[in-house]
Amino acid sequence: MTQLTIETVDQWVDDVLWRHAGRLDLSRVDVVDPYALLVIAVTARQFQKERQGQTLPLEWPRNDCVRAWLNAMGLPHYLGRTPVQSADVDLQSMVAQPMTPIDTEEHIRQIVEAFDRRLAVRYPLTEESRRGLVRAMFELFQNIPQHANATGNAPDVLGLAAMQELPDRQQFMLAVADDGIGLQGSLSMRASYSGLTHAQALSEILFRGVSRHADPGRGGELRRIARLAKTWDGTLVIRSGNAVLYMDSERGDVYEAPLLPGVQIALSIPQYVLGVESEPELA
Amino acid sequence: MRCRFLNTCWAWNRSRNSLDGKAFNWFNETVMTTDRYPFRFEIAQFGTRLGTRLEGGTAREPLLRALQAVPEPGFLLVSLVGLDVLSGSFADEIIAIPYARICAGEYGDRSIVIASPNPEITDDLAHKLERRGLAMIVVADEPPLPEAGPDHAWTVLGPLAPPMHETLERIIAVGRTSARQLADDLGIQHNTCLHRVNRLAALRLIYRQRIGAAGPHSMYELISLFSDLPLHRSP
Repeated sequence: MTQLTIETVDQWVDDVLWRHAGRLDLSRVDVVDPYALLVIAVTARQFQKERQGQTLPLEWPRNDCVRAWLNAMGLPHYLGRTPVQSADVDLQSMVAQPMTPIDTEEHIRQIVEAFDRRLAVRYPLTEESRRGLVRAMFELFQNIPQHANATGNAPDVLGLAAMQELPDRQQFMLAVADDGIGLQGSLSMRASYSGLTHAQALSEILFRGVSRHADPGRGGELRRIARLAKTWDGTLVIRSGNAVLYMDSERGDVYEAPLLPGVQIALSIPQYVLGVESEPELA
Repeated sequence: MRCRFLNTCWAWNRSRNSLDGKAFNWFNETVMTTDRYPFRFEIAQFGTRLGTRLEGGTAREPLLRALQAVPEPGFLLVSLVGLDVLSGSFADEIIAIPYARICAGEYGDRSIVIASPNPEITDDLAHKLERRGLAMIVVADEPPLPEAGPDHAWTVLGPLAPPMHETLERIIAVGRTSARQLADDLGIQHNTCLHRVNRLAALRLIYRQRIGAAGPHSMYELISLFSDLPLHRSP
């Protein structure tokens, strides 16, 4: 079984952008998670930028179900392609929330409410869990318009969010991604934090709650979300530049990864937090 | 119907603010009536799920206008009733930033008190206050549980050390006092007491009225935010 997931996606990024594979071969992929999906969208866009507009050559999965899911999540659109032929399945019940563009701050509330409605349809959430997730979504989503182009060097930022349950793991995943200036780029706007590596910037933001603003009220939100994930026995993955932070209830470590623009985040929580032990209630 | 979690939280707050049996009956009598607190600002007018800094910044201006309308000394009761979600970003823009400006003296002898139906809704606000080194008084916008008695219906949001909390409790309990009387009541040194009340006044958790001088030092009356108003200013 070939997986395109949070654990393996960096190998695909490395192949496409740095080992010059020149194509994305998903033919043998059987499992995809929403974080990997968004990372692939960012990778494909980066490929296009580096190759003067050339679309990333791609081989779709042979697995009919996976192809249908990628279609339903909207990946072809973000790869500049028409939807691929796939099985006739009930996509409404298959997809928790397709890839959703996040552009301006004015739209954030509507987007969060749409995600919240989808959650309510699929899960018997407790009020506490629902509110926690909604608060996390507000903070994660608004980071894109607020920070991804803070320097003005990334005028056409791609911002995306998606969510999906992962039945094999009994988990639910919320993923957010952009191809903006990244945490290092944002933090370097403060003179005292310029010259940091991606890993250092990630650590400063996560573990010390700093932000590009000197105002003490700004920042600390990712740290709060990390604590929320810990409370729920979940995991938080934050990727920025060539650094990936993996944080679960036991530890938080920063790893090196292939360089990619922007910030990509996955919040994974056990499905029991959403009120179910096994399969979600489908729409 | 209140859930067990909220009951536990409010019960905890009540026990924290226990005043050793000295009755402090403001909650039952007056706290939530509009006659007593006509200067009330409803955050829910901006929606029930409030999350972005952009929206919070926009909502801040009407709040500041409402604050300006409060006669000095006085406070604006900012109600969180009706909110489903209040994110840290929105809360920072609409409450913590104005409160920082109040504490910096921009709004004279005015303050803000939060009315919250449950502790969960103030969770992210508490985080922002902590980052800014601020503390605010929060009251419940619903009657206390009958078994808890009529008092103890306020708490403090944000960092406030236990000795400061104890001092604030005492001032709220008696309504008005002097630093010397307060020091006696608490069994602490006068200088220690002055340090505490200066900090409470700087955080706008109490009013402080100059009533005279003792040698080179000013003398103040220390007044609970919930004490009867108006105050009588000394020249």
